[in-house]
Amino acid sequence: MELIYSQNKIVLNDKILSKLDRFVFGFTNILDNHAKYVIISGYVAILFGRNRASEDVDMFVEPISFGDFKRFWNDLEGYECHNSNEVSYAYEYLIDGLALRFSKKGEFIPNIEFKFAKKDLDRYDLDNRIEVCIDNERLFVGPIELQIAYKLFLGSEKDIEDARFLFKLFNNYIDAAKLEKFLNDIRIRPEIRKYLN
Amino acid sequence: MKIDLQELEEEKKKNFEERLKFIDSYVEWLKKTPNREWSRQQVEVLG
Repeated sequence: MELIYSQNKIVLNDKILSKLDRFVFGFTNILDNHAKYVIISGYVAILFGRNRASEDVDMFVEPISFGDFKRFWNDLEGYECHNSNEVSYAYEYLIDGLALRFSKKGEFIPNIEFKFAKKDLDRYDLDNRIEVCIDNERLFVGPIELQIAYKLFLGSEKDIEDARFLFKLFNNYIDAAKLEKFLNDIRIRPEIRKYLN
Repeated sequence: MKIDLQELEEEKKKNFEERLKFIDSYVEWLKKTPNREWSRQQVEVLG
């Protein structure tokens, strides 16, 4: 794998994009004009080569005003929101801390799980997001250290596999002290931490 | 039919450990494989 990893940027050229990648880029290319966002969870591992399907892609978005959200909504040609056809109702979901689900029109899967950043950990993901450049495309993912720790927190077999995958792939690049801090702060038990070894 | 739950649990655990080992092997392969090649294989699997 040829990648260039710096603190806030990963360059991964010459990747053949999957259907899921193209779906994500299509959506984030529009969103990027309207709000700061960060992709978290399972898709981060898939983007870098983990071979499993995912029916959704999770993201946090910086809270924006209704006016800004409406402009984004109007720009989303070819997509639909499964929660509501009405932009003001959709916005209420976000204000209430709930997720919206967007997919291509007429489809259900894959979809984007779209939420406003609410808690400190969400904000940390946003403020420390990593730009991933793949040829002429770019998107933003959360810091790898936090993805690993959070996946261990989620704790299903699939999540632990994702965590181990990211850890093994990026172990020469990530900040070990930062990872350790997250593992401690999120109180990952030793019997789960051992899965990184 | 006799179902030994303990046996099933042990098998489940063993299978999980084997999948984790496979992830390690896969990552080693990924690290030395050009992006064009591993992503081509990913697209064949995932579409």
